[in-house]
Amino acid sequence: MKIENRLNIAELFSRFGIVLILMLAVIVASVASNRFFTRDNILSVFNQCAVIGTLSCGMTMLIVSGNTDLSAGSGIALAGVTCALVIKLTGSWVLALIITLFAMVFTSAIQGFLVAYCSLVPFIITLAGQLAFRGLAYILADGAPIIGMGALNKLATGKVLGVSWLIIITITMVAITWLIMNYTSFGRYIYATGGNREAAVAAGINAKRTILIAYLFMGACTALSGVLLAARTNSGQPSSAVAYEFDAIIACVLGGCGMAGGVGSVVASLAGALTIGVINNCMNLVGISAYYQQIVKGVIIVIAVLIDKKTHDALMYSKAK
Amino acid sequence: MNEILAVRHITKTYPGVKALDDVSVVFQEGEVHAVVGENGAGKTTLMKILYGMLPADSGEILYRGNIVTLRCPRDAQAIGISMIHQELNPIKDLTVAENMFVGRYPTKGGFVDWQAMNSMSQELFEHWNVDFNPKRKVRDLSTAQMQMLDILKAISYDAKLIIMDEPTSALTEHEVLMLFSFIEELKNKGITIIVITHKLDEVFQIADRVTVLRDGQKIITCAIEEMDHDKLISMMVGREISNVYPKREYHAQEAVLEVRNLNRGSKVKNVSFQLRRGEILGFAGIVGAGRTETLRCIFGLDRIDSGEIELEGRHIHIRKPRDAIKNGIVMVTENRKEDGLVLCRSIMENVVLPSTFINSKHGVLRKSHESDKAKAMCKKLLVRTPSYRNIVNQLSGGNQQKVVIAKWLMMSPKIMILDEPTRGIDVGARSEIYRIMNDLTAQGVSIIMISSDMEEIIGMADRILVMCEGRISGELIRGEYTQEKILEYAAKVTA
Repeated sequence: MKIENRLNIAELFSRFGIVLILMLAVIVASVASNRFFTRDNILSVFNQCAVIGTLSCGMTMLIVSGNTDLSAGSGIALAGVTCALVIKLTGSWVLALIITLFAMVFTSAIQGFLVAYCSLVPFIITLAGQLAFRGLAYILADGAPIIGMGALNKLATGKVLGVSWLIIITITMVAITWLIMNYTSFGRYIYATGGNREAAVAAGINAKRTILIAYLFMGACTALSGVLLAARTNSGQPSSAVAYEFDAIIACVLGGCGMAGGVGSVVASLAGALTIGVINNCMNLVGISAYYQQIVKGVIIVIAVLIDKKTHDALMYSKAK
Repeated sequence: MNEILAVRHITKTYPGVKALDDVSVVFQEGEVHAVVGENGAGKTTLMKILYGMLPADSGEILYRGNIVTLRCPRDAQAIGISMIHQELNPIKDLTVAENMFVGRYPTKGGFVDWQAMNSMSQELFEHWNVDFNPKRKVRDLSTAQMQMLDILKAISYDAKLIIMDEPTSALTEHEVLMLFSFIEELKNKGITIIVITHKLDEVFQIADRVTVLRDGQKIITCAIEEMDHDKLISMMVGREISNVYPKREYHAQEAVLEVRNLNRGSKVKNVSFQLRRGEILGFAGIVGAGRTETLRCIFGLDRIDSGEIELEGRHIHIRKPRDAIKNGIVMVTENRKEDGLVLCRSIMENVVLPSTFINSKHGVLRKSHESDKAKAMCKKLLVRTPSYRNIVNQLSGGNQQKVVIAKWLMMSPKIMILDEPTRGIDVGARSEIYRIMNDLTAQGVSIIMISSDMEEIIGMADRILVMCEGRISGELIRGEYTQEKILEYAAKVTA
């Protein structure tokens, strides 16, 4: 049947259109600056994307479940500070990782509980989290960066077979998220809950628990992103990662996650994160000022949302007979 | 009679589908013209073109003999064409008069002239013999009244031709009669009505002429006197449907479900009944009588205040749908878009959703295993789609309903509750759903069917319980029920 072709194009675009956009961004960047396509620069783009890329894993899951997390940027700062603090106090990077992970899963659990079981709006709850976690990070760090990540600094500098740890960890997280979303019953419940919560509940799914677990996973991703960022700067900085949650959300939306929930793929979100990375990098290379960069980002958000709407409509309202 | 509106050689193509293929129809002034056809026949597309919501690829529209171009609904309204949509959305917290005049409140010195607005509304209501209080909140009106309000609003914009899309789909029998007498009134005052409907009885009740569309082509336009029920159906589906309600034998068996003294708020009062194995138990009554509420409680979508539910002789506690599902009770809800389907996901995913926990191992999906089962189920139920990976929202209503049924059959249920299972579904898919129901009962599945369609409930049910104001007001067994008896029980409150 003819219809099938068109459908698949709409479907393919909603899933992988971001790859085209990414390629376009790469072409524009390489034309705009001859320094773009150097080995060092490409690797640095990847490294810069590691934090947002890791964060996008949890963010994809949350957005697909019909929720969001605006506290992630503050969470990253809090995670970095926590990690650096534990290293400073105990010298054990293993302990630091474990405590950071638990701390961030715990803070996310509070938000997830309030959203899922108390039916509060995620936008407001995580906005509250954004304020509170930032404050907590400053208190823990006593207002100044905690320098020295010990062995964890190797995450940023060390390499395996020529590939940095940052990249390996990011890709591993994306792979894990992809497996969870596509090959576990929990993943299916995420899609169903985000697509239509009433229908999911009527199908016997525990939507509240599903949302709570998505927040727990987000907490783990935040912890990891925080550790990666701290490793890159070799310090836990309470003032870092401001508005990173927006970068992650833009990455997801560029990648085709519907803000209404129910649609999205973590691989596409990663491509979205890379696209933002390439655009940022390109603007830095050609020397566009930071102020203009913000405007460009704003425009990208609008374009991302437009694409979201168009592909969503194409998918939902094209008729099959 | 004069021609008021005509379409000539209208063609509209969507990618891959010819929605309308060289369609020409003439609408006469002051007639009630029914447009019928199965889902996907092109009725709605044609109406959208008439109302300026869609452009035609080719062909022309003539209004009183002059070619007109309708780029948007406003263009259509300007020449006197109005459309009453299937889903009404009045502003419920405003009054009747405010809704009538929304966007064009009469003013006096820059302030809203409430008095003028109310008296103008009152005059209009009196002229059309409807009993509305302009100061009443729209929230308090029934669906039928909201519809009439919408029609009156259209008339107040000087509409000469009103298109109604499935106007009776959400109405009770009584309200339908009310609407029809109103339509009669409109007709007598020279207003032309075009009605899109699935309900063929209604066509014979109100229409002067009827147009049949099938697969985007016009099959016939003729006076209603030249048409009969069977002929109409065979023209719509292109084949004979010998019997819409297939006959089957039923012999009373043991009780499977026993409900005792169920209560919930003011909607469900002391409801007790039994359901037998392999039986189709019909729930009749007017909308709001508490039928849906009762069965939502049994499926766990709403909590019960008090009462007992016994399944095969043992007490069960149902607090959420999961409890019901685990006990083999499933429900095809009234509004599949609201709580039946995840519209943005594929057919496949919707069908496997409730049975995920059965078909997975330690939380890991066994994808090919479950997709084999799901495909077999969809084939059995004749779900028509190019691919099971298509998004559910792209399917017609009948196919969507089959997807909902398929997902529950994956669970091999003992009891299936169907709430208005054929609302908004075309004749062909409808009889397929009846066939599925009969197959299920033959396998020992018990069915509870809520339906506001008298013919359907009489045709399908082995036993009918009638509800009124939250109570069961009567029980009728096959052979003794008639429309009159059901209506009588539906209107009476037993203490």
